[in-house]
Amino acid sequence: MIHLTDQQTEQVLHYVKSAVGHSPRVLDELFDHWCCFIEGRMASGVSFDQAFDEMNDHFDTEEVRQIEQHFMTCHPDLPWLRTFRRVGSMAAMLILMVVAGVDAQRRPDISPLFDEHPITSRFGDRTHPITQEALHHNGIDIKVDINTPVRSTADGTVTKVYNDPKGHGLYIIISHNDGYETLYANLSSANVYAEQTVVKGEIIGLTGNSGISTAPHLHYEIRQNQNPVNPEIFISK
Amino acid sequence: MYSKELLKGTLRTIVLKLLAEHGTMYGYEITQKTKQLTDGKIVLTEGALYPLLHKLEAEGYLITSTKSIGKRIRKYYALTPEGDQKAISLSNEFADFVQTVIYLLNPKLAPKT
Repeated sequence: MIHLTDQQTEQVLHYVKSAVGHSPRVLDELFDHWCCFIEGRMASGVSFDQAFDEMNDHFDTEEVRQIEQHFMTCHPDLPWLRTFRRVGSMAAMLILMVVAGVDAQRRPDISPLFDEHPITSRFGDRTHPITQEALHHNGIDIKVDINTPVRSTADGTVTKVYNDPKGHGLYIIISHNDGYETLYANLSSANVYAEQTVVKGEIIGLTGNSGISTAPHLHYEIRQNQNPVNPEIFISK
Repeated sequence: MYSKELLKGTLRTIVLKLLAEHGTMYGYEITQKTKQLTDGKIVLTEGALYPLLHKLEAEGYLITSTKSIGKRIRKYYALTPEGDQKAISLSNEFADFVQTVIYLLNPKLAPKT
């Protein structure tokens, strides 16, 4: 039996991670799958480097993306996934820290959605669409179809996953470095749990129409030291 | 290798039947066993296999356990009693289907009625 060295294992993990993105659900299983593949090839006399290249050829990123989508819709949460994801996230975080540097991952400066969608309500004063009260809007509303993946906009730790049918609906709050916090609301499902670490870009849930809402949308907030700030300023173009 | 379309309806049967024969298996092991038993004619891609395994688990046909191997976490799948029943009924249905298709393609072979 051939076993990959720690360094080789690390190399495979790094590769799988870069191909899969930041979804630890798929990562753990595919990671083991491809390690087995390489070990199998090495057992038949191929060098690690060559087996690694073969994996690269076999690895269909489009297919993997579909698996990821599938995982999202197949089961919202299972206990074993928690352990999986925790280990995956930690490994992912470590790699990111080494590869990309810590600073770039800190600020919530990407969109919570993968693609561009129209902002239907901006940050600031507005008349509430349902109560008709004049209220400050603490975030932005992005019009998006139900069950679209939502990602964490920076590395951080989940502080709250909660359902408030008379308010934000199902929402997630993530705490980041430098006093930043982000909130993702009106979701249809959450795929993270409190105290879990997440990396920037990791899928944390799916959009929905839960809570007080007139149409499917994502309510997204950024808070700096508890004070809501305009997310549009943070999302880099 | 057979076309994706052809395999699509049979993967479920193959995976359940393999688990019925071999007990507990992990993903990669299933792909290798299939390859070996079919002389490389049926190749399960990870894109087909893992979603299917997770679906079968969600449907209550499979139970899972994990084992950590150094930095890796290996997930093992096994049949539940429902999965066992399902494996039998699907493989019987499939064997019957194959027989029917053979008759359909070769009418001469069909039993006279």
